[in-house]
Amino acid sequence: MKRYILSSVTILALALGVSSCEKGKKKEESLTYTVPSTYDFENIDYSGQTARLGMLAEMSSYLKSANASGVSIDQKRALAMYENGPDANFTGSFDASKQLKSKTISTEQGLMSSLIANLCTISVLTSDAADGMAGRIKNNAKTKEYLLNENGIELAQVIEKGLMGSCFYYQATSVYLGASKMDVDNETIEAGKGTKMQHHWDEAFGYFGVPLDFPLNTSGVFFWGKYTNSRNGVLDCNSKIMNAFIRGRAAIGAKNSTDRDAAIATIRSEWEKVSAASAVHYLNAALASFTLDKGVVHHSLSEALAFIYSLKFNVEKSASLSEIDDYLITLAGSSDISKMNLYKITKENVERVKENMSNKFGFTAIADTL
Amino acid sequence: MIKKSVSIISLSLILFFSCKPKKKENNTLCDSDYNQTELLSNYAEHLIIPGLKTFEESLVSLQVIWQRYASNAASLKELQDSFFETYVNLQKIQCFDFGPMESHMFIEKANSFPLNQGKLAQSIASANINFSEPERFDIGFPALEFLIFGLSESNIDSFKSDQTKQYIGAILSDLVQRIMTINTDWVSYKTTFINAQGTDAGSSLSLMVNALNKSFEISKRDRVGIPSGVLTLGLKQPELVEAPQSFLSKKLLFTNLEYNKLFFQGKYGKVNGEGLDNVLAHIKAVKNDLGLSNSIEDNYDAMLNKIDMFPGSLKEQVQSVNSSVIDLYALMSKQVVSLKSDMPSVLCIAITYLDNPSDSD
Repeated sequence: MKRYILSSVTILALALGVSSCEKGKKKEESLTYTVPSTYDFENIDYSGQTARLGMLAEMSSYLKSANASGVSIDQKRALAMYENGPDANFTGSFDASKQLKSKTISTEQGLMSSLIANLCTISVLTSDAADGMAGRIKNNAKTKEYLLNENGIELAQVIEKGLMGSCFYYQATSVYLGASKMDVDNETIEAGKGTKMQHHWDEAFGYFGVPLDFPLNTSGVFFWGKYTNSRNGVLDCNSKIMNAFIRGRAAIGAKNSTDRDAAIATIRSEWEKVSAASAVHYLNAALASFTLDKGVVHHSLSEALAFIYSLKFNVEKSASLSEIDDYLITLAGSSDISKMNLYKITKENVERVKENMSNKFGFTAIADTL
Repeated sequence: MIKKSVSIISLSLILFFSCKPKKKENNTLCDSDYNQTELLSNYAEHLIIPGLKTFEESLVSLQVIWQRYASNAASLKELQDSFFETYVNLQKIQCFDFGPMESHMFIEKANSFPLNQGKLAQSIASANINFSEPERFDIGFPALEFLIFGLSESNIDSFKSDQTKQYIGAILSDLVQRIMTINTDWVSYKTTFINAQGTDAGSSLSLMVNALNKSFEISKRDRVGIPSGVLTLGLKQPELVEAPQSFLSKKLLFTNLEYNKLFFQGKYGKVNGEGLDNVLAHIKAVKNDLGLSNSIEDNYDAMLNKIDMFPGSLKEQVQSVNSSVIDLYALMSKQVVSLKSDMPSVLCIAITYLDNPSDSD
């Protein structure tokens, strides 16, 4: 059956090829094709992406285990998890060729390694956190404890969300949906992987972290999939992003690059909104507890700044790098994560960042509900 | 079944090629009567062999000054001046990276940057002078530059520690050894080189066109693209320029591209010998109604003029007026089309080097 499909696709391609000589390039695109309701296409493989989601899940959970006083983190192991080195001790089995570090945008790899190392260093502390002193803080209910660096930042959050941005979001929106991975062969089908173009598209999808029948099925959502689903009530982003992934994949199958490119634009802008809206969501959480619950404020602002930081890694971002830096500086005094300080924060500044971001991303009417 | 699909694929390839736009085709080297002897002799006798010899002399002189410095018989200034001159001279031989130079991995051992400072500290402490290990980013000129310019400023004592001295000495003798062997190898390789005519993958012309392109693309990506942030969504990394400690980056880049141009032209000193430009002229290759070689030369000049306008180092330029560095990158991208696509296609040369190591999915 598969062979039959293969050869008919080849024949179709030949026919299209011939007509393109006679009538020009436009005719090459099929205008009608079926867009399925789920991502259950033939020849899909994004096992490398699934492996990296799994690695971040394990690493993140290991790093967050230091949020309990008395649990310290082994630096050798934590850094090995980032690089999938021999000391990583992962529960899952991940091929040695896959790692988080090499897929993190090159400018941020050093920063991420140093944040991981810092977290390990301070994880031995059991004392209370204070301005200038790393340590621990609890929420008022004493149900949650957070490990903060000397500037009041919960590094575990910044590392996890920071890698969601500088690795997953970057790879999907800027690399796999970028020109260098999309201007490739779309004729030769490799069994199990599709054409090169289809495969790259699937790899971008793999970083989204959702099941094939998302959003009908919302179990088994990871990282961006999880935050997309959390923002869905306000943004209706589940189906916007998922449909664009399905439509683009079908368009590639039909050799319709116009529709594919429209899907890329949608994915980039809707995914960006999820990150921006998640930042505003955590700014809201910080504002609600501002003078009441310091633990919640430090935790929420650590999440917020990492979602803002992540906005940098989309090749078609709507806020410029300097605007993003400006949000970070207003919020935490610096655009450099290692210099940010959450003890100097003012409520006015948090509100200002919320307002500026809401204007930029079109959330003004919904900002308070995020 | 397999045979069937192969024939379908080849049929579709034929159809594909027949669909190329019906532009007036350039003449190619394969259907010309061009004799390569003068060309290859010029490159071997006037550019490559003397160029490598000059570099050897420069490197040996640096080694001597280092030894004098280490025994307090030369000043830091003398050492830095000699290092600078040799680093500039290293740029002049980048296009010769084939044959003996490639087999002794000279460029990789001499100039893999950016430097890994952490590894360098470890390697000095553990006296790891096994330079045959692959992928070392703690050796060669980048390591020397950091030690001679960076560390000497901030920490003279550690710069002059016995371990550091031994490490610097080891780098220099390894490189001197390599370049001497390369020069010896060229004595016999010269005949092989001049006789390997034609346009096949192993031909000398193919080696030269590939080496020229490889050198140019390394400059485009590593010297300009990465620091300016063009390759990283606009996130700049000025500290990743070549020679970040000494602020030599501008002169190094300028010389690198200047000698890329001279190599293209087959020019040495004031003599414009038989070069790739003459081959393109011989087969009357054109681009946008201009001779292809003129178009390439004009673009080299535009790049060199652009760099010349930078008031300070390349690192400072990225920090202050990065847009001009991005403009330079655009000119270089345009040049890649001419050098890597237009030129090889009319010279019947296949580009065989890999500019990007394969990456895991």
